[in-house]
Amino acid sequence: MNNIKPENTSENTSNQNKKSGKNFIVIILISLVMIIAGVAVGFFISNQMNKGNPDKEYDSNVQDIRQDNDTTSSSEEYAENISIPCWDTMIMEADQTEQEVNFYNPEKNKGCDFQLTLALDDGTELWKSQLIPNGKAIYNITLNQALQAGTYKAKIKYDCFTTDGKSLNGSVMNFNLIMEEKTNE
Amino acid sequence: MNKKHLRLYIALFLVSMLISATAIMAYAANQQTTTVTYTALSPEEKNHYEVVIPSAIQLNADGGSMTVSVADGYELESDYQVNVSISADSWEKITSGTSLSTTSTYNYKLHLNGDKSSPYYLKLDLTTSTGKAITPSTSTKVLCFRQTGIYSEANGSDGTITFTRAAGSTDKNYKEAGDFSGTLTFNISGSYY
Repeated sequence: MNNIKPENTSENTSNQNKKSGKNFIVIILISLVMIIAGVAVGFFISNQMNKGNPDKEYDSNVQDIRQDNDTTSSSEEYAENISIPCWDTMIMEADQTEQEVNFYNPEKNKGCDFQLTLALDDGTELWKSQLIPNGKAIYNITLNQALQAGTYKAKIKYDCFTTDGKSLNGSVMNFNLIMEEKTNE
Repeated sequence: MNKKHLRLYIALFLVSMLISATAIMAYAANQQTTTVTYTALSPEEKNHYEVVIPSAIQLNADGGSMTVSVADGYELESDYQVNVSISADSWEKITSGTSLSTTSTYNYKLHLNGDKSSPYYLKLDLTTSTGKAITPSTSTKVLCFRQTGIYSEANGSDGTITFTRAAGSTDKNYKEAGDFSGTLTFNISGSYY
């Protein structure tokens, strides 16, 4: 009978010890990862619950804004009233004639065309438009002359007409025109 | 990884998630915060509004009335007001007197067919809602409004303009059918008070 001696018993034990030691470290690491992941998810969920507000959800009944019902009779040529857009201050760029603006004729001014004249308080005309129908706007203009940087008293004259050219009541709106130096971006 | 370990990991994940969520919710309940912000508008964004003027008015032989107002939804700064007055150009100016002393008279006339050279016209006196005369010689202000609404203390007017037939009208001499028409131009100015 051959005695079967276990080969390298101490080495095997050592290897087994090493292996179980490694396994233990892996378990610990994965456990830590799971704990961290759990904390992170819990943090995220609680944040969402704190931010959430039932009142801020979108109403499922919303629709596109409808046009105001036209209360004037269909036989009327123009609206009974004219809405004149007004403001306190307008800013333009100094030393150049090309300007971005927002001159508009409100949609509700049915059958009323605007002709706008932009001028300084001393009467110097800076720009004049052609007819602007209701519901339309002008966003870019070219001034007759460039102005230096500074604040000017200015006015915009609203001449109002029916679509067949009859004069309607108008307005002169006074405001502050600020010409700013263009900043290089 | 065996089943035992897998259960351990899942249990650790769920427990830590539960604990952290509970702790944070409890902390948040004791730490309600309100964000306090003041956003200053640029000069361009401030004080936008629409003044509403009648496009045209129909009068009878004795006159009529119209109302100037401001459209709903306007936003003005608390120390800003808007004055609406009638432009002096709406009147015809007649100057009389000598070189040493002149007197100016302002007449508001509606000429036949809007033709200012026509000899036929309806002459009208304009007054505010409180009965004050509106002329370039006195005051042409018809409306003042602020953030809180129409500021009637300014001149007592609520924006209503009354037209009253005045002496000197020649319209009744015109025996045909015809339109006596004219326009009004309104001056709109805002300022801080």
